[in-house]
Amino acid sequence: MHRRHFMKSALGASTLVSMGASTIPAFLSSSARAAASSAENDRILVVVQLLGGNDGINTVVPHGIDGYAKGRRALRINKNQIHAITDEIGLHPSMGAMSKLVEDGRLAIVQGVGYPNPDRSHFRSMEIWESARTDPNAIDTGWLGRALDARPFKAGADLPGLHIGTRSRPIALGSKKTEIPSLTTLEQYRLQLTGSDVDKRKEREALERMIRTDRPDTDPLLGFIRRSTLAAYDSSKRLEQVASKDSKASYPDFGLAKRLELIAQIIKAGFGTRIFYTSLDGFDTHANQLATHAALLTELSDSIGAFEKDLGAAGQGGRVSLLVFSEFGRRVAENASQGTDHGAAAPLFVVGPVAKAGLIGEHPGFENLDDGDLRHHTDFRRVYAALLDRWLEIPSAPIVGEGFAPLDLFKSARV
Amino acid sequence: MNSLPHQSDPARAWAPYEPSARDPWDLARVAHLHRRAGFAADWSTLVRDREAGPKAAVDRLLDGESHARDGQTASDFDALLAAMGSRLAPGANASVIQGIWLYRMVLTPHPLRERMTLFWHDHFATSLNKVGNAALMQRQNDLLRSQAIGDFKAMLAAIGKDPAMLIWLDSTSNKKAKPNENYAREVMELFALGRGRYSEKDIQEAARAFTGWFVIRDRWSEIPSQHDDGPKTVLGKTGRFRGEDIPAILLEQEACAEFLCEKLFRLFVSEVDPAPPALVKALAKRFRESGYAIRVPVETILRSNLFHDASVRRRRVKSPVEYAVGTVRALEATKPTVSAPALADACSRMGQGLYTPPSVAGWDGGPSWINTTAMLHRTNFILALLGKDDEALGGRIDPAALAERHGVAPLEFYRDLLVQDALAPAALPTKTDARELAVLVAASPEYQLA
Repeated sequence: MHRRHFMKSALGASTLVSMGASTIPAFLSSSARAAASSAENDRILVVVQLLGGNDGINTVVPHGIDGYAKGRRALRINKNQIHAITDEIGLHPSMGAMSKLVEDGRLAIVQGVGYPNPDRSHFRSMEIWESARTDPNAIDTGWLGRALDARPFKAGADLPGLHIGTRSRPIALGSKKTEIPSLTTLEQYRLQLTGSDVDKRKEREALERMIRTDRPDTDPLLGFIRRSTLAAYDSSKRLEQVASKDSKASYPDFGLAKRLELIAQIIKAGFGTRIFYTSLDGFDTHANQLATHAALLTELSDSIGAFEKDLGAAGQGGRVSLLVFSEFGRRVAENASQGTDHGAAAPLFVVGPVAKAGLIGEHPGFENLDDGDLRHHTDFRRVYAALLDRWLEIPSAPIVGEGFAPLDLFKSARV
Repeated sequence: MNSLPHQSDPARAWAPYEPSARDPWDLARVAHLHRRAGFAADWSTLVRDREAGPKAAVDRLLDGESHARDGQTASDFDALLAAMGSRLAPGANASVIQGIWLYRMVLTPHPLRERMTLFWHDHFATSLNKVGNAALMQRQNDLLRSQAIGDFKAMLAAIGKDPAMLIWLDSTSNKKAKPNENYAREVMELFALGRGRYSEKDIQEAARAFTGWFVIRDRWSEIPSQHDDGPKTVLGKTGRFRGEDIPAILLEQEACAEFLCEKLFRLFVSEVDPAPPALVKALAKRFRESGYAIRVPVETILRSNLFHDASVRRRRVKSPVEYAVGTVRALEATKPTVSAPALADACSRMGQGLYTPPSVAGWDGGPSWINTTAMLHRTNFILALLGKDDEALGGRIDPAALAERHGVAPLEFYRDLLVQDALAPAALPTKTDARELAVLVAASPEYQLA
């Protein structure tokens, strides 16, 4: 009996009648295989949301494009410190690790991303990005929540999505069917045994023995809970093994790095979770932006670099993609406080086995501004459509709406 | 799996259970009653109700006990909780308001009333996440409690003017020129009739009846000039209906009592067996004829042959709140009790944040409570509650002393208290300490079921 088949039928009581006690040992041996094989088949999306509105202009710096130097005086980034991508455009000096990802063919930078009639309120613009809907009354679910709903979560299995962080669950993960939990540490994903190592081992063994003990198991509901509980204890053990083996993976001492490390541990432990969501706060740089922004981009770039290195070493790079976005970019013209105010279009990042690394799409240019802001030419929902259709292989139209052709970010849909 | 007994014999199914040599009033039956009708009972209550017989046991659940678990009289306890609720700041965060309710569930003198309040919260599911005002959520909770085993007519009428509900459903301004269909839709689909028992036209017409209803400064208000006083036709009735007229029209539908009784069947009898239509119809008839007195179907079920039949035991999955509150009550962690906000957070981790249901349809319940993360959190909750490390939840229970106080050996005590005859004896080690026995029984798959 394959675990997945059981899970599919778990909610239909009538199909459970045939499940007698004799199927349980078979399940136990197959669950480990199911967990192992899922590691090769299931693609994962990690989303990093930059909160506050990242200054895209000083992240993917168009130093050679007319208008940059005019808009940015105090905040201008020196051309020879930039990690060049083309003659005109390069990454911020703090982004060495991400610049290496471009060289390695792992980072696509989509330029000029936004949506029509840009809203410059953090709150509202986050709602639009996270819900992928422009109707303010349609924010009860998020684009990823709807993606999870489209691929029904099998009761008893690993949760399909996780939010990592202390912020309350983002709208993006709002689902009609599954409440996506928020985790801050691995501890919350582990059996909290207490006492000495010997006590812990004994207690775990006693729990496992209690669950495994043969029962006159004529009740399929009970059998289902037994399996789920064993799978839970098993996943806890997998995580502990990964965590103890894992001392080699080196992450910098940043909050984002710790969150990505936690995600990597869960991925490497072979969990069925396919969507991870986390964020990095602090991008609302209205004043004295230069040093703050450089520090944030160092955290972003070094954390993602370590995450990529870790997953690559574990042979997981082929099944993990990562999206980095912010609710809006910032105005072209800096303000009088050596900062920048809320803007509109901006670049975003997709890391993973991308079809083409480097810049995707033209820079929107400084000629034809929208009330002082860059104009978008690529709707963010086309990026979502690519991640849904071509990466997660979940039809995008019901989720982001009709008319958003997927960008060519990935080689092709794997069918 | 056995099919349900008396499926096509409603008279027999709903007739009161009488103990017999074959179906004695034993510990398994007493514990089943308390699991379903409340949040599990402690040892003394189980023993007391086994002596008293089924009639007295059900009477106590329907009417409530004289004292709360902290020793206060029921009326003092209710007054204390009312004061806690009324002092709640609008901006109080979720674990505070969740904690107040969980505290009440743990210590309540009236477990059935709390269980039914939770049922109505799931039925009229409203989320603090959108309402954004804990005081309004508390007000709604007080409304649901006041009629939890009372008058469904009154509850349905009041919920339509409940500010939290109207904010939740974006129905705070029902203008004549632009009737808002949301409340009209949900009241038919989710609150009174069920899908497919009304038409889109019925919704549009009912929405016109609700025009003129607003929420202004967190209060329901009526603006007569915004009311569309033209004739409307709703579910075959025509008149110059106002919002107040709609509940009565819904309650006249046969589907209404059947829809609610099917849900009560799921709550009290089985989540995994489809409710047999003949049984639902018979129950609904009594409900309708009582004028929608909620106590009537609830009492019928709790006294019935069907409810006390051994085959319907453990046909539900305990929700996280039932699991957590029931364990705290059964293990007598009541003086002092656990930290209420910590209990709230534990329930949220297990997948059920009170006042934050996932959608207007409430929680899916049943097997959907179960996933690996939730199961880990269930075991971790038990480990914390029965351990000393967790300051907010642990250190309140001495498992050896508890069994000894009741004069029962630990193995028999924890088995009989928590799972009775459901757990195979071989699953528990004979040579171990009381704490480990309590952990193993409370983490067992059998104990996850109600």
